[in-house]
Amino acid sequence: MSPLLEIENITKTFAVPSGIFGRQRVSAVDGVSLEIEAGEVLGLVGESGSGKTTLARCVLGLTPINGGAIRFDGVDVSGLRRSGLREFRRRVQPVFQDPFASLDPRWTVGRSIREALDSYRIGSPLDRDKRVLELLDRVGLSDQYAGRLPRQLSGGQRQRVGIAAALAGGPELIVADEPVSALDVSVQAQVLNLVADLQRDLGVAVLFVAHDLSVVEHISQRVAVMYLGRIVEIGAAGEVFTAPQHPYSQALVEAIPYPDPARRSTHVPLSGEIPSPVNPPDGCRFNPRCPITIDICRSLRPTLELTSELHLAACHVNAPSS
Amino acid sequence: MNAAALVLTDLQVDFDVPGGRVSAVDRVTLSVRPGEVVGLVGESGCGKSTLANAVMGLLPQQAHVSGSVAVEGEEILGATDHRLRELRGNRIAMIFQDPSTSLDPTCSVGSQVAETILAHRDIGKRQARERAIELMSEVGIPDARSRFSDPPHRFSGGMRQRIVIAAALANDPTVLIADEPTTALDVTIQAQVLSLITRLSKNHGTAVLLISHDLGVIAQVAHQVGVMYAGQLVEQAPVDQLFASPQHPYTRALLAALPSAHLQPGRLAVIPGQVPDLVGDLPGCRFLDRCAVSRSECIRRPVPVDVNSTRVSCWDVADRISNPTVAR
Repeated sequence: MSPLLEIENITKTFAVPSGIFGRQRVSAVDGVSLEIEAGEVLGLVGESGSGKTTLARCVLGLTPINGGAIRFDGVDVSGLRRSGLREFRRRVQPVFQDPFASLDPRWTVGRSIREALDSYRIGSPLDRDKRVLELLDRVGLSDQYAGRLPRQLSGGQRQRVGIAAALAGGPELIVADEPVSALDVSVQAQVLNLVADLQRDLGVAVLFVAHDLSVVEHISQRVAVMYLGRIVEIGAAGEVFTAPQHPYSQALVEAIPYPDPARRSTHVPLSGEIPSPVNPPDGCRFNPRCPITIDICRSLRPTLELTSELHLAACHVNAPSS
Repeated sequence: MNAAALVLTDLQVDFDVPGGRVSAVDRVTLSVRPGEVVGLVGESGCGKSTLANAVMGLLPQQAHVSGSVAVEGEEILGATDHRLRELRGNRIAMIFQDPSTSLDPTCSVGSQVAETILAHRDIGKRQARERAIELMSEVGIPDARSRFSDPPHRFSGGMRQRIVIAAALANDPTVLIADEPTTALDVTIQAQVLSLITRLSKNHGTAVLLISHDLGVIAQVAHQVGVMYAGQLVEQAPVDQLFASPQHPYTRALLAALPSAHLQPGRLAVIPGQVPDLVGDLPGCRFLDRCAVSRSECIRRPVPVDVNSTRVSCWDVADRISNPTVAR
C-alpha cells in the first residue's frame, strides 16, 4: 500500500532581486523526499530559513514546485485540475499560525465554517447548519460560539475555529504550520490535546510544522529535521530527540531550554548562524558550522542513510554510505 | 549579602478604561541583587511587561503608578523627566523582544552604541567609538571594527539583539531589564544570547530582571523566579525550588501544561476557564474561578506565606502550613 503522501525529491527556488536589475535564485527547498502514512503525525522542525514553511506550502499546492513530484494517495497532484483539485483540497487542509488571518473578520464563526461545508458540498444545505454545531463541539466550543465574530474570541478559541473549518470537509491530512506558536502555554496545551484527539478519533494524518522542539517531541510519532532547504535527519520522535545522529540535530536538541533547572546546558551548542540560501555552501550545507566536518563534507552532498531501523541521517561522518 | 540593586515595593499600575479601572499590576514586591538574574514568568496579559515599563518610566501619562521603585536605594517613581533621562541607558537599561524596533534603521549600528556612551559620559567621539567597538566585540559581533559602520539591516536578528545588548550595557548599568529578549530568535541563537546575558551579568555584577513567557528559558538562566497571574505576583522562589515543588495552584497547573515527551501520548493538563477581566474591584484571589482547590476564604486577598524559601499567596497553602496534621 502506498503512503498517504509521498514527496519525491522536490525542489523549490525563488527569484529574488539582486543589484539594480539582476535576479538571483534562492533555493528554499532542495531535493526533499518524505512520506506520511495515513493517520500519523509527522513533525517538521527547523529554524527560520530552513524551508519548512515553503515545504508545507508546496504540499498544500499553494506554492508550485520546480522539480520532483508530490503524490497524494498514489496520484501526482501536479496533474490535478478542476474536480480532482477540488477533491485534493478537501482531503488536504491547512491550519495556520494566526487563525485571525484565515477568518473573515465580518463573518460569524458559524458562517466561516458553513462556507467550508458549502464549498465542498457536504451533505444537504439543511444538514449543514447542524454539521457546523457538530464541528464546533468536536473542537470543544459550545453552540453559542457559532454566532460570534472572530474578534470576540480569544487566540485559543480562534485556533479551534480554524481547526473546525479545516475539519469541515473530512480531511485525511492536515498541514499545520506553527499552529500553537502564538498561544500561551495553558492554551497551547488545549490545542495540542485537540490535535492528538483528532488523530486518534478521526485517523487524520498531520504534518506538524513548528520551531518549538518540545511541542514537536510531544505531539509527533516521527520527526524530520530541516536545515537550509534539506532534510538532514528523519526518524521516530523518541530516537531523534534522545539519540540524534546529525550534528545539527544534536546541537538543536542540546539548545532546547528544558523547563528543569537540573538540566541546565552549560555550553552553547552551536556558534554562527544559518547561512543565506542565496549562496548555500557546497557539499553538506551544514559544513561551515559543523564541529566534526571532514574534507568530503565541503564537496559532496551527503545522502540520507539508515543509522538504525527507520532512522535516517545525512552525514558523511555519523552516517556514512556503505 | 549584597544590598539589592532594584527593589520594587507594592508596585501598582492602574489604567482608566471605559467602565472602570484596570489594575494591570497589583501590589508587586520583589528585589534583584547585583549579579543576580530574577526571572518573571507569566502568560499574555499578566502584567509582566507593564511592570517592566513602569520601572523604566515608559508608561503613558494616563497610567496611575504607585508604590515604590528603588534603584540602588534611590526612589525613581515620580522622578523628573530630566533625572529619568540621566538614569535610563546609564544606571538602568532595557532590552526588548524585537531588536529592530530599538535600532534606528538609518544609522550605523556602531554609532548607535557610541551615542549611548556619549549621552552619559564626558568623553570624546573617538574614545566613544573605540569603546563601542570594544563592546561589540564583547557581545560577540565578529569583526566589530569593520562592521561598525554597517546599518542594522545588514545584521541577522540574533546579531541585532547582540548590538542592542551592547548599547544597553555601554555604561555598565546597575540594572538590566530584559523583556522577552530571545522570543523572536531561533533556538540555537537563543542559547547564544541567553549565555551572553548570563555571562555579562556575572562579569559586571549587573542585576537582571528577565521577563519571559517561556518556563524553559527561565529554568535555564534565572536564580530567582516570580510567577505573575492577572497582575499579581502569586509565587516567588529560588529556581530549583519553583520547578521541584511549585506551591501555588497556578504555578502547578502551568508546569503541568508544558508539553513533554514523557507524557506522550498522554494528555497535557489544561487550566479551565480564562483569565478574569481586570476591570473594577477584585478583592479576592484572582485565580479563584479556575482553581481546583479554591475554598470560601479565597474571596479575600491571600496573605503571602513562606514555605521554605518560597513566598506564595494562596489560602490553601496557608491552611496546610497552619494545620500540618490535616492530611490532604
